[in-house]
Amino acid sequence: MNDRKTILFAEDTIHIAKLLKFKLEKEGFNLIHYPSGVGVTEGVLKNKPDLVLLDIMMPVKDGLTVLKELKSAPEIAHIPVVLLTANSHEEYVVKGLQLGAIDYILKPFASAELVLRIKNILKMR
Amino acid sequence: MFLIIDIDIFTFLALTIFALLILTYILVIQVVLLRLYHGFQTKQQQNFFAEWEGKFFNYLEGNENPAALIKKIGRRKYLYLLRYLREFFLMLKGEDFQKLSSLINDTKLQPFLLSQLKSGAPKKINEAAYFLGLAKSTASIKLLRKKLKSPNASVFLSSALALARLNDSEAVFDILRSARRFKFVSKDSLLAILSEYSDDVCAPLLQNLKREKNVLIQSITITLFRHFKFYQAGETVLKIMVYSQTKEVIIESIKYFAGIEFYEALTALRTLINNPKAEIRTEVLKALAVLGDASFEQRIWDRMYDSEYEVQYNAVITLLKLIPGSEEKISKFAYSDLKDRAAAIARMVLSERSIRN
Repeated sequence: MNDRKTILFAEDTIHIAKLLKFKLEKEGFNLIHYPSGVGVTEGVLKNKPDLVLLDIMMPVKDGLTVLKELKSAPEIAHIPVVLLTANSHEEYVVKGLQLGAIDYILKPFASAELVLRIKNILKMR
Repeated sequence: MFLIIDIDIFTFLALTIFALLILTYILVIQVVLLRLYHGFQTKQQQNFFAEWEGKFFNYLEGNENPAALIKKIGRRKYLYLLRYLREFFLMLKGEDFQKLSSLINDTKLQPFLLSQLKSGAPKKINEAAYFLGLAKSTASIKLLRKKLKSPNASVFLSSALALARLNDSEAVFDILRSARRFKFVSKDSLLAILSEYSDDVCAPLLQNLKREKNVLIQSITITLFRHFKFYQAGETVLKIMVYSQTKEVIIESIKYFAGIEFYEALTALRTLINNPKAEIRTEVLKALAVLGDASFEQRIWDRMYDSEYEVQYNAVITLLKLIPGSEEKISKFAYSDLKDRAAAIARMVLSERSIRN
């Protein structure tokens, strides 16, 4: 049986998304990537990941809108959501935490720290 | 002397149409060639990205020598690599960032970029300055400082941005003074550049502000202090504001006091609430929403009858934020006289507030 944890993440900066995928897969996670907020909620409902990593500023559908959707669907509301956002958008972080995100990571970030924080969140649950 | 060619109108028209056809044909060929060239370049770049990706990710993970890695790439593909690294420079920090910087600072990329910076071509200079700044390449500081004197605005801006990212405090005054040479370098673009400095640029800026007479530099400096939440400049800015006749300086000072919560400015704000300039009265009201107390209540109520809409609107908002229980009083006022302008504005604010809540 596959006991690898699954992370679903939405990040529109394609090179950064690839780096995150590389780093997290190396740490033993299954990764599902979305290049924008579109389809993320459906993806979470379908795949039931162990954690969702959401970039706040994304085209078409932003991370906070997705977060609201995730937290209003009872079958997936328990899945921890971590926000990823630029330093200059700290006010969105407050909003995101109020909406039910469990943690946030500011860009620029250190990839090692990001991996560590994700591992810690998953370990605590 | 003119050569007169005797041709009839039909021949003339035929020749004109023929010339236009030839011209159109040349243009179409040119567009097709440009598209092909662009497509080829994009394909080359994508291939390079795909090939480089794995190597780069492994480099970030391991202990590979950056110089050895860069040696594998031909000089003509350096720009592809730099473009690929761009997003990583903006998004990564810590050990990842150190490794990224090493790819430029400890390899042949650095002399390549420095030679680009020395070239006379603005496009090459701008690109080189951009990457040297991102990689915090200190070897480029002297050259970048020279480029601040360039008559070309884009060269000036890219050099200033690089120096700010390199946190070269000594260059900040050259940036501020050189910027005045360019009419279309706006205050906002200059602020965007200067905010790339770290907050330790504030100390030398404060020393300069004490003797600075140029109002634009005063105003930019104070805005930067607000950006960095530099509390130590409070007393100096207060003195400048009290004696200043310039609207921009006064407004930036007020915003700064609110931004750092500098309560020592309250006495000055008490006077400025009646300033003849509406923008200043508005800014005072916004600041009072943060700094003020109940002793300001009557003065703020008076502003609800101001001649300017912006002032009246902000007076209502400030009262709601500042005075506990003021909503009830404002509601009564808002419906006391339906024809009164101040009451109408109060109704509008209350309505907006109810929508937001």
